[in-house]
Amino acid sequence: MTQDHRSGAFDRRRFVAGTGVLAVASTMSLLPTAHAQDATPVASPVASPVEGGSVGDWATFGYDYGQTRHVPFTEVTKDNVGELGIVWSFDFLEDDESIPPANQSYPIMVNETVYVTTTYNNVYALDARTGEKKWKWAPDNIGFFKNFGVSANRGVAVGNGSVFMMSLDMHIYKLDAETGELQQDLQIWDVVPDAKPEYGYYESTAPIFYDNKLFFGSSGSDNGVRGFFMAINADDMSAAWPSPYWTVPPDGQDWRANGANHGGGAPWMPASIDTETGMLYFVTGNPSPDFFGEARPGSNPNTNSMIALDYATGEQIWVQQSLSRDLWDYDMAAPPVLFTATIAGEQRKVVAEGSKAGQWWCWDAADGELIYDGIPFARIDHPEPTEEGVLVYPGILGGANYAPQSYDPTTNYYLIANVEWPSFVTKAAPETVERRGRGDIDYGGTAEFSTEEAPYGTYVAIDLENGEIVYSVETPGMLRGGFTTTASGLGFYGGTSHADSNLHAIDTSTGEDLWTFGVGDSVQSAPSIYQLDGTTYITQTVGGASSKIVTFALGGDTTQIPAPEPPVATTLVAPEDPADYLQLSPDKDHVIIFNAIANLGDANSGMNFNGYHHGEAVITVPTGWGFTINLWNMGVLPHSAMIVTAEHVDEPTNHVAAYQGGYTPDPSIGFTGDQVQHFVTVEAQRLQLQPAGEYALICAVPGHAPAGMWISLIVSDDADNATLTTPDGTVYEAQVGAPEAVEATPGATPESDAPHG
Amino acid sequence: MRARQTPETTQVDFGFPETRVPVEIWTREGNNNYHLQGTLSYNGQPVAGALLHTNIYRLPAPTGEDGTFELTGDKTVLQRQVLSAYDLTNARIGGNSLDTEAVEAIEAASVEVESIFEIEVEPLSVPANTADAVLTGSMMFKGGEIPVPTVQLWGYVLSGTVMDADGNPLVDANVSIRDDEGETWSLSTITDETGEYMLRFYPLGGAFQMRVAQGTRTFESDQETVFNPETSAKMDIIVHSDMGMAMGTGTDGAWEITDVPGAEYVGFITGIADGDIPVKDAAVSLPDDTGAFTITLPALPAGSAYTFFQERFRVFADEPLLPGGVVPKELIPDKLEPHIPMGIEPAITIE
Repeated sequence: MTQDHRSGAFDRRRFVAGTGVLAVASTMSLLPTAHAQDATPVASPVASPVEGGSVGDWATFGYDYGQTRHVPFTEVTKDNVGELGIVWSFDFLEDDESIPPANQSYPIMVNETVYVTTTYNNVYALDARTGEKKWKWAPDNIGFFKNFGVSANRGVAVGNGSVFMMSLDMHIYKLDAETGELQQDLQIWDVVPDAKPEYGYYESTAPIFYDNKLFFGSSGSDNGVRGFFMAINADDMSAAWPSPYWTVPPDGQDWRANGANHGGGAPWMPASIDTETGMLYFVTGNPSPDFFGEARPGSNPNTNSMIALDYATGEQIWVQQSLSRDLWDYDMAAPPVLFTATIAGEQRKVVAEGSKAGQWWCWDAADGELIYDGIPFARIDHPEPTEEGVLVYPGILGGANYAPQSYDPTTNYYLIANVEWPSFVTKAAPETVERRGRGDIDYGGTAEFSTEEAPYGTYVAIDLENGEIVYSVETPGMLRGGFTTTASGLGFYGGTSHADSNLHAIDTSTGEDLWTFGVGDSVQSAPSIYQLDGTTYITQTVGGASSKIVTFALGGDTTQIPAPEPPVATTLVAPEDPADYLQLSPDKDHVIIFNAIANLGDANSGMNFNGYHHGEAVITVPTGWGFTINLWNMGVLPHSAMIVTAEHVDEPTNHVAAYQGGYTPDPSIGFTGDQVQHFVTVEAQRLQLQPAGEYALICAVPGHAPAGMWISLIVSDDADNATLTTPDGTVYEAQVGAPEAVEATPGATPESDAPHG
Repeated sequence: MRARQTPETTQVDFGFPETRVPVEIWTREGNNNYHLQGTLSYNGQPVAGALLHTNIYRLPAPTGEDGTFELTGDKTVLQRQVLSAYDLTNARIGGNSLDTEAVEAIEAASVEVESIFEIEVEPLSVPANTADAVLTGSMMFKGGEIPVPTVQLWGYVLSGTVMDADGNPLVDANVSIRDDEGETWSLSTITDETGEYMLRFYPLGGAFQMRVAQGTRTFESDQETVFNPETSAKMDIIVHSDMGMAMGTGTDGAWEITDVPGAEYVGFITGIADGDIPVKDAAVSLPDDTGAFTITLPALPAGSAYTFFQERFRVFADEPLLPGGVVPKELIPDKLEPHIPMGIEPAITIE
């Protein structure tokens, strides 16, 4: 197949290799395998690539079992792509307000139904033509998931009339595809020993259904879990393999000897399957502790690796490690892609993947022979982390993050959506690494995103013929959704930032952007493309601050959805009138706001709140009311605020708070007057004043309370309302109100807006 | 080695040359599985096309034309697999489908395959009605050179009871603890029917946030340094109905954490049992770093016989469990779980 690489004039940025390209020591661990396979002819364009599937379906995660994400539909072309418009959309946040924002789900379309998920493991079945909701299902204890920092779900598998979804708390739910009724609930640790959330495992990805079995791994690589891959029988969810395929040694053995909480090698994304050879391929994450190699000596085999198993038994066939002893969190995150390509003029079946390391590998599918060795597609410059810290390219988001990649057989190009944002990585001091908790994140250091370089993205095409970068095009923001390509020569991807909250279509052969359509928020997945009644639908979830799905077809509504407004920083203005020092919350009943202004004027040499000191001002509050403090500091010395019981006022230091949370952050250190601080954030009811008694609002910086920096606080069973009694005897009843919020300007301090006096 | 099978179906044979597989140390090569070749036969005739499964997994392929099949298992773990046929719809003997009697006999049959540590014990016969006879032995990986892993500290435990302001326990509530530095990952657990939670981990230093979630309600605390990193701790949590949460039982709502001794330990033991009923009065020691253990027998009646069982345990012990130390009696179960290897010889007979 000859290649016509670049034709026509267009604006593109050529890739420039970074300095200090890392020489990759790829570990070869070839095992004897089946003989090399003959090249497979490309599937007929009218056949479904999924067993028993209908033409036009998008029936498995990556369109076909090789996850090429390349559809044979040619209705939408380079010429008419501008006629794409929205034919239906569904807003998950509007449908159910308990669903949080952001969405990384990759939709499935079978049975004329789109199956899609949201954060917190909600599953929706929508009519594929109209978007009308057919059913929705969610696990019972959704509140449980609020305790997980990670909340994404990347989709379901559908097979034999059931929908399968994996949950954050390590269950696999089997639902009736027609009705959404729960058919079976499997605890993954019943088939994978110890694969429980409390040991650091969680599921954020989609399983794969094939041959009446379900194939899955898990997340948790950075938590030091023992990575695995497993198969169950779809009919009764019993184990299909005699044991999981474990990627790394057992707890406390081999390179995990320094701690059972060190581990990794967990696969983030679904597997690809060769239905002719029966081989299954998946890629694994990095070893933990991240950044700290001494705790896990050696090359940490099977981490950052492409692994090939027998799908029926789980037996290992071959393993190739892309990066040994990873010190930068450079997972192979995106799924592997299995396809037949023309390489140096010859057809070969290969598996390939571009990783967070910003490099792309390609191996022979049958025996793992290395074909292309770590071709750089991102800026690369990553010295080993030190305790002082180093800047590394790529940063810890990559490179290529989880975003699936696509292979286009027409051009013979492999497409990657990429992130460009370096991180400043600091290696931990050794004594802190060994004290990590089992099951919690096992970071051997810290990583901060560069604040000097703004993040952006690129999309890159690699020519399988020779491993060369054909084009690398910069985008205004990161790309973390992935690619889907068509036989008509289009490549679809979404921008993962507010700077580029668009779905794009490019000319796959040239990289030229042909179509940009505003979808209103960050795109965190790639589109699924399906056909019904001859109409091609392109369906895309949208995340960021939203959670919705929009579906395009020719002739749809071309009204674009504008990008969200950037948030405006605000600050509060300290009230000037003493009648406003104590207010009633306008949002919640029986919650008061006390606007404390430290060092307001020179009374008591500045050791005062609102000019009051030595308890001469008294706040009286009914028992059980909520209490919010806003604290401004007008002075040069640091101050804080804390509620204590009255007998503790005169202690010079080490104050004991009367209520947990009843103090400003770091109360013994305090803050100086360039910011407003609050305590009792979010919901004021958390701080309920009880029992009745004598308390004080003090400054907890050592020495300040004994010097008189406190206000009396009486919690009374007899009071009906909150009052502030000032030293001259005036009683102010709290009225509904709150300090004014104004836009914060850089460099301005609240002082300039606050009263002096 | 005898294959343990259900006696009334001796017409059915699974044809394993052996049914004991020694546990091997994990290696980097491949899957670390054992593969046992078997042949299913009925009255000496091979049974083709039978679908087999164990309590662990379903075999991917039916028995071959010659009745052969392969049983696979993880050779690095203590395990018992019980193999049987579950679907004989397409099974054939000599090309003919099975009659009712054959189906019933085959479906009722099973064979057990166990992966166990090698045990060497001496002496094997002990006097009757005499207490304090001591058996000494060793538990080793296959090959007899590498001893079984010694008992290890798994982690400390933070536990307590979650209740509402009236003292009623919160059942099936999720309790989680998270370090808000950097990414927000979480350790969590569910309260049991008494409202008790148990979080197992090595405590981190620094500030923590704790949450209790039940249904759609979430109760939160502020960040607070909690733990002495060298000990387990108890902390009850009182959840106020209006979204507040107080830790501990102090009337002023302050944190109240009580350090408690003990931790969770994981390790391996062997003991003696009559079938699946352990002899709890036998004082068993934890294998030391050479794999050596002792069993001090109570007085036992003449003519009684016992075999060994092996178990991987994870338990909370108030006193530290150390290699070579005595296993507290309460850690020995009253009855052995069916999945653990038992009936292991050499047996002990009381003379």
